[in-house]
Amino acid sequence: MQDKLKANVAKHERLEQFNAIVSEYEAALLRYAARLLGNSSAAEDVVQEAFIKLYRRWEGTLEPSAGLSAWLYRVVHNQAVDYIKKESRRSDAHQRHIEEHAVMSAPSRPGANRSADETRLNVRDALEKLPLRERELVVLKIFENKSYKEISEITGLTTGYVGNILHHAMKRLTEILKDTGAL
Amino acid sequence: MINDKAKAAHRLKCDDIRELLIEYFLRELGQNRSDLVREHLRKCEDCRATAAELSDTVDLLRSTMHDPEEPQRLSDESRRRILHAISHPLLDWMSRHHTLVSTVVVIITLLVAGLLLRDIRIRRDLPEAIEVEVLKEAVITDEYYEE
Ligand SMILES: [Zn+2]
Repeated sequence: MQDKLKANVAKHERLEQFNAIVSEYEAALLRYAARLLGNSSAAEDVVQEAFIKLYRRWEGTLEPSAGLSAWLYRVVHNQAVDYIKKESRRSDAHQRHIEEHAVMSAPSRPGANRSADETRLNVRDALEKLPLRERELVVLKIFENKSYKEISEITGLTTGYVGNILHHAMKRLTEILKDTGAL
Repeated sequence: MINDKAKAAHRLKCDDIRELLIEYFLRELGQNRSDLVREHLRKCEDCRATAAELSDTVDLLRSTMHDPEEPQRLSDESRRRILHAISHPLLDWMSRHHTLVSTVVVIITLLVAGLLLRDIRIRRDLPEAIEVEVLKEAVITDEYYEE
């Protein structure tokens, strides 16, 4: 009886810690996934899965830490890769995705800051032209402001390699942005 | 001291410097290498142009960081699904793998049905075989007594 009560209390505590973790990381992970996938509803699914995996597989205490954060980013990355693979297998679904993009790319909301919207679209399109690995590093470094060490923990790449890929990616991005007239 | 650094900066080729530029802008370089890059940029116009371009790219990217259309929180629907998944792991697993679950159910049903049918056939065949034997015996006995 006593043991059952203890187990319940522990479960309740873990659930509360879990909720705190969700609140802490959801915004950053949604942003990261949306930029990896170029699609915010897919990003939502991917982040949701990552949190479920965290609850089931994380063995330590559920508190914000560098390790836990890196783990979450890594899971989101893997889920995003799976999603992209699945999506490219279903070619008509892929087509739909492109059409959705066309709709989203149409200049929106007259009176809104159109040039800011255009820049955002240009950047998103340019990012989508990069291979996933490069896109990931750009997002982590430029948008999420992670250090090379943190990026290395998330991706499993050495910091030297992170620097190399990022160098390439930024060069390519600069060229693409120049071509589209955004720069 | 300053002279040494200037010499070292000069020895680094433009390509080496360009590889360090992102790290330089993002403050990932240590003090020493940072000084080398700064020193090189002061003297080399080409690298300065490349650096300016890169810095523009970083600025442009960062200017799009706060997208008002990007969700800041998971939707209530997602939260509900997460809660469901972690509090009913088995049900959740089954609903995700419903194709696998239904295939397994069909296979098991077929197996059980097959076994039952075989069992029924054996039970039906068994008495028939015995009856034939008994009849044969009866005929033989009759013939014996008739003689
Ligand atoms: Zn130079």
